[in-house]
Amino acid sequence: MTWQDKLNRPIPVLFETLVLRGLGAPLATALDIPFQLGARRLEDGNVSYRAEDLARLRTHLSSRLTTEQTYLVSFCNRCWRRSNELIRRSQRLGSLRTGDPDSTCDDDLRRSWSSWTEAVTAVMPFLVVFPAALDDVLHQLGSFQGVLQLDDPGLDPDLRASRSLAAEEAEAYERILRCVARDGLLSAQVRNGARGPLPSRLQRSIDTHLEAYDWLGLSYFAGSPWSRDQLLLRLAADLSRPRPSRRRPRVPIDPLVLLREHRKNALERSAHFMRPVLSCIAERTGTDYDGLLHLAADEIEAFLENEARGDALREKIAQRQGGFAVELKGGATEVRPHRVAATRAGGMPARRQAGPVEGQVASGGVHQGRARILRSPEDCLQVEPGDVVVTRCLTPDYVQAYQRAGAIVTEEGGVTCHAAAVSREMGIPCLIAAPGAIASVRDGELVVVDASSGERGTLRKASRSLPDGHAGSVRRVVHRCSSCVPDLGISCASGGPR
Amino acid sequence: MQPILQLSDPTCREQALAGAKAARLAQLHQAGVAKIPPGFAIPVQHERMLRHPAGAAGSPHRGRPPESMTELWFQALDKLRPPLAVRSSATCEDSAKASFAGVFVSLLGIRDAAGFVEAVEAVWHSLTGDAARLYAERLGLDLGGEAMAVLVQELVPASKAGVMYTRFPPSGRTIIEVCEGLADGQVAGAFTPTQYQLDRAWPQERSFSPGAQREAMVVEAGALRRRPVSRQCALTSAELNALLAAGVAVERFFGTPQDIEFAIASDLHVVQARPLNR
Repeated sequence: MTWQDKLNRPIPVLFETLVLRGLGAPLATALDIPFQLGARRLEDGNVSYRAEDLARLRTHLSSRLTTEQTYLVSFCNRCWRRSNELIRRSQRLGSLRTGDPDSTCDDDLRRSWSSWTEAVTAVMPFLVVFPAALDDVLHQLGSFQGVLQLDDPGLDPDLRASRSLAAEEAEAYERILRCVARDGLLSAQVRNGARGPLPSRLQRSIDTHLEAYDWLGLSYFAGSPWSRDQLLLRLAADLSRPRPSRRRPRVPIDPLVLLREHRKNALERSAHFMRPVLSCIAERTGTDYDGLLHLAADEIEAFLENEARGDALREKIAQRQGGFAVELKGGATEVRPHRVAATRAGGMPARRQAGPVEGQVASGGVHQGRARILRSPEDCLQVEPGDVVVTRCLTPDYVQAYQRAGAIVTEEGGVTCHAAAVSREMGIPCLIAAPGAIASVRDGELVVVDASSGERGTLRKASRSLPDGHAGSVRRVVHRCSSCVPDLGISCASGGPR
Repeated sequence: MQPILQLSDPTCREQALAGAKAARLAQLHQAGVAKIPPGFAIPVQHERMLRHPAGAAGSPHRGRPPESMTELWFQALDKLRPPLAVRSSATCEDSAKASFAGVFVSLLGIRDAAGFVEAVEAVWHSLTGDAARLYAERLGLDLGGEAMAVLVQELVPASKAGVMYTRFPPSGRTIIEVCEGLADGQVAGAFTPTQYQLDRAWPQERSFSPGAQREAMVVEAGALRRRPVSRQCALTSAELNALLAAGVAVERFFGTPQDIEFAIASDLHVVQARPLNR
């Protein structure tokens, strides 16, 4: 049975967790449900619904939702349950410390949790109503890197410009944000050695982020434990640096854009609050934060009960990092390797790829040259002869890029598209559907496109720099070899038998 | 004035008159190899008539098409049901060495006479446009002796459409890429389509990877519309078999591996067939 078949099968939906936590009303509004839900607010802040209302809601939703929506809801549901379990668990973890002797961890965790619940509550109806953004959402839920996603293409242009933060700058940035998240811990952390002048570029990026995303503002999440002003004051005092004047953010006009930004804002914010909590547990499990996100709540809980089982846990994480799908079977959830994510762009593309990026070979050959990232057709003018053109999709608007390019790499598209056909005729290597290609290279960096063997090729950083004039020589050498020594097995330029 | 070439006219099979794309479709149609959407070709002489003498500066074409010419077009248009596809069919296009893929203009969803005349002119102008010039320069081609015919066809109200490579060079396998609605976004490379790869000897053992299409272009009530895609395109076995059969037939007819663009409405239509480049 293929992945597609599985998606097409009706899957039972566990709405109860959503609904019980007070999400019934927003869901009902979002989905235009034609009946009233009788609700009663419980002492602990949760909401209770009448059993028959729940049944009606469930039947109604099941008939209204497409399979993708169902999948999405179940995914969200699971993430939500996982965090819920985590926090309940965390309240019992008296000995858990964040590494700072001044703090009581429980307090911190509980506070994080309340904000997180709030964030998820706000975000859930958006997730359900806009299934078209499925990839986007899965991606965000899957990677959970929140505000630390410096290479997020959805960020505004100013912030994007700051993406080339050096590793230590990014680390300092993360440190600051984590301090901020722990509120009371901030001064202690700074006292303990995090003090020091921030690089000015980093400072700018924090400002831009605060300004553009307003993710610390109170307009959207009432009742946040910190106000924006308090935070800024704190940052300013602790870093003893005057803040540069701030510009007004551009206001999106389209309400849908606004909604999308709100959703993103909420997600990033929620990830931001959960991060210190998860980091604590990650330390214990002997894995890293990203690895922990591949586990379900019960699995983490089982580990915390019996810490001897760390090896099995780490193995599980490694397996799932290749991509996974969450499947609902008669009310029980099952996590299995995600074939689509593992084989192609789809599920959850990897972020900040360290190794080479893979793509489908549309035109064979090997080429080394300077990476040129094209974000709009105007960028074509910057392409120098022999450059490796890296872009999201190479539509015919980019024709000027073909003319000089030495190789082409696109994140989307098929091997039968125009760009692929044209690159075969021009004899230049071409990789199609190479997710993460743009994030993996920097503009102007020397890279190698290897599309010499079989159906999959790679884009990677050049291992050693060639002098400028030698860019492209690798391809020429291979070209020569393959034309005189066919047995080498190198399919060149077009990959065809010659 | 050179008459219009219907796809069923024997003269429409001449590449020098009807351009490569129209000529190849006419050959398929007249030999009964594949189902082709009804249409006609505006012969290359119409474009040549309006061209400046070589070397003249400015716009390559002088003036609007005369009434005697457009009258011929409109007569032929009466037999077709809009919306229409107005497509380039240059004499140099679709060869094995130079497909000119995406270089010349093709316009979809043409519904009225005024729009039609503009579309024809746009197709003509693309022969001498920047895209064609840059492309020819890189491949070392001379476009001086080439001319542009225009292929006019009824737009297939496709539910699915895509491209099939009957034998893709590195592996010799058949590749089918398909998307929801019309395939114009797919061939332009705007998104990752659903892909099937198979060996024709063992069509059951095929690999499938779903695409990442967000929006489909569909024909609704005689007009083009965009609609969001809720489920990635997948072919039924019947559709896949029909496609493979058509691919084999077209490949046999022309004698070389083919790059076939198809559209599935109720039937399978072939909308383009060219030799697979290298």
